[in-house]
Amino acid sequence: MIKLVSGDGAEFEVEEEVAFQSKIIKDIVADADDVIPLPTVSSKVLIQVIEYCRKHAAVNSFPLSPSSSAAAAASSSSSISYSKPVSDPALRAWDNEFVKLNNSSLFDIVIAANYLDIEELVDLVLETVADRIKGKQAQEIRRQFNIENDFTPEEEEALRRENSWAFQNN
Amino acid sequence: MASDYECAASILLCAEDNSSILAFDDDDEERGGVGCGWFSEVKSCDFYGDFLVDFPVQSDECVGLLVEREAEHMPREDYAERLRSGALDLAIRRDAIDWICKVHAHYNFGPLSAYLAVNYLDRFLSANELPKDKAWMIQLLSVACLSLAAKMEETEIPLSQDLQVGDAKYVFESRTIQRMELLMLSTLKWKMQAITPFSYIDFFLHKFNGGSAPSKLLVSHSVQLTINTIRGIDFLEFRPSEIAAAVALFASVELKIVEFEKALSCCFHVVKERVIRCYKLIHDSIGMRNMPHELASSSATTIPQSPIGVLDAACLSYKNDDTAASSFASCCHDSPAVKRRKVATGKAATKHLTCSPSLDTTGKGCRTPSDKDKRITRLCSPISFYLVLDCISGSWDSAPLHPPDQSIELWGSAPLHPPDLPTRSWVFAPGGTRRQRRRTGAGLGDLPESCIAEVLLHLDPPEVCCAARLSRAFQGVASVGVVWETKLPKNYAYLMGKAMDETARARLCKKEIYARLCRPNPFDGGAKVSSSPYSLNPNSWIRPQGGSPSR
Repeated sequence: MIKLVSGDGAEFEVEEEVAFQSKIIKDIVADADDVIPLPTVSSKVLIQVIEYCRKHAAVNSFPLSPSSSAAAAASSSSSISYSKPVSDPALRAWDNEFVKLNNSSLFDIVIAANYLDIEELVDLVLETVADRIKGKQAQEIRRQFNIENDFTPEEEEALRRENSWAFQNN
Repeated sequence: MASDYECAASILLCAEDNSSILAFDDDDEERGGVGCGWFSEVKSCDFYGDFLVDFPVQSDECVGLLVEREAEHMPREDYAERLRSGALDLAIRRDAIDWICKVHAHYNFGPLSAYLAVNYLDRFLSANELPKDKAWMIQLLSVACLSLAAKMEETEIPLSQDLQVGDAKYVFESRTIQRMELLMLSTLKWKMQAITPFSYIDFFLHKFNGGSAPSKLLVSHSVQLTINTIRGIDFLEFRPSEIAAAVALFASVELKIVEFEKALSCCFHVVKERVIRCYKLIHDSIGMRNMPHELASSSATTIPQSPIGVLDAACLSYKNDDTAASSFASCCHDSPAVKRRKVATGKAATKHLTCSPSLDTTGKGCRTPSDKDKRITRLCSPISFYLVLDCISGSWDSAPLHPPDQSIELWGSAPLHPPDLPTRSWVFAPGGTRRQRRRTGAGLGDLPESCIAEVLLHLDPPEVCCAARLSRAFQGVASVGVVWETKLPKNYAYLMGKAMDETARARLCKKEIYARLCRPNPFDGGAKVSSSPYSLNPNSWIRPQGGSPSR
């Protein structure tokens, strides 16, 4: 068991294979003790991330070929297929449910996942974010995603001209 | 015993030059009790002078070989001239050296590390034009230089992002530094074990000292003099062997060990006139004559160019036998466990790095790259790095980043990572450091730029252009070549070759290429006009606009 401590001091005990969905934790555990402080991750976010890891660890540990799980057991160093696309339809559906969150929760998760180096989770969330951006006007995106417009009016005009080629047919 | 050393050398070092530089003779008799005592006494190994005492002096033949090859490890010939004329910005070099010296002093690295770092810097600057307004790039360059030099020379190396001590304006993530290091390595053609004056000093000191080992004072004085030459651009035109001869000559004469004329007569392998010129330069830079040697040597520093320089001068002062060892022990070397903990806590608590994976400590994170990895590496690498590439090398494709085979040992010996590690990471490019999290919760702009880039990768070109108008951070990411490269057709280089000439093409960034391909383009000398981009883009986001089909 590995103990993760969130920024607000809450402790979470998780199985190794769950925690090892995060490559950074895998690395840290390799030669430190089993209590891992994650000061930048709040417990609310950490709960979600652990939920994701638990689900994926459970699914990933079964359908893999025996050789790859043997390799996983044999060496902590490398060559497990982390980065296979999520092919299991049930897991995909679960993922789709998982990301039904408001934007700022999603950002919190992606920041944490990026920190913890959980590639699949980062991919999943960013793809979701991209889907939410698609087909929207700049103003709308700014409002929805809490982005500050830090351009001066002149710069904005220059940018509009610069990118006009992309919109000429719209 | 001798074969043990040979073996150790070949494991630990680049294959390049290991036998010629270290010059291990077959007979090992010169290594006596002195050596053993030294290792237990001075653990920090930070004093090159002590190091020299311990090794047999090079043979004439070996020095001859070094002299033949030293030109490979020098900046281009016109470099000093370009600095003087202002074609290259002197301030860039000065700032970089200031920073390198500061950190060098902080970690109490050996003098050779500083010299190597500046050597890399000069060679890189002479080969590449840096964009003028990119202050952060100079900082990144300095970090990479020192990091590489430390990896080559030091036995104890801090994490590359921990090198960024003090209040650096920009703080880079280890992956970014690693990428810069790789760019550096390929630019310098992997010749990192550069021949420096330190390669020769011992040889000349022995010569001037009548063949016997030079005194510790003489060695340390020479080392100090050599270090003092790194700032002055006038020294750039001299070869390492000439600087070494001049430094050894100066130190020997100053300490009244030998007459000037007599010493000059035993300067082999170097052009005597140039040694004399270099000697005069050293003399002028010190600006002191006939000082009692204790005084002269302790104040033998060039005039520092900045407040930082003053500190360096103090820190680098050569009379640091005891203080060095103690401050060395206290300032930087934690036990591995503590270091590891720092990965988890210290990093995250740092002002700039709110949230940063650091995998830089071991090779454990590496794995054989799958196709997906390659994609991720290509798509999500730190944006600044691509900016660096875009700015410096003109094109991503032209910078081969894989080490030649002979350098593989380097990976094994130092915590440098092979190029194909997964590289999703934070980047602290300008703008990134300024962003503050608003109280209302995280916004899209709070994401690391690599994440923003990945979001953009999922978008169609018009949407990317729309995103570019959101904020400065987005604008930066949206103009990066890697985002657009995925939108371009595979054969775009061929298409562009048809549509315009070489020089015009080289000026365009990937985004402009895309924009260009979206218009009807005359090609084959205007005989034909390309059709719409309809056929170029699988997503076909722009409808054909009346351009006539090509046939």
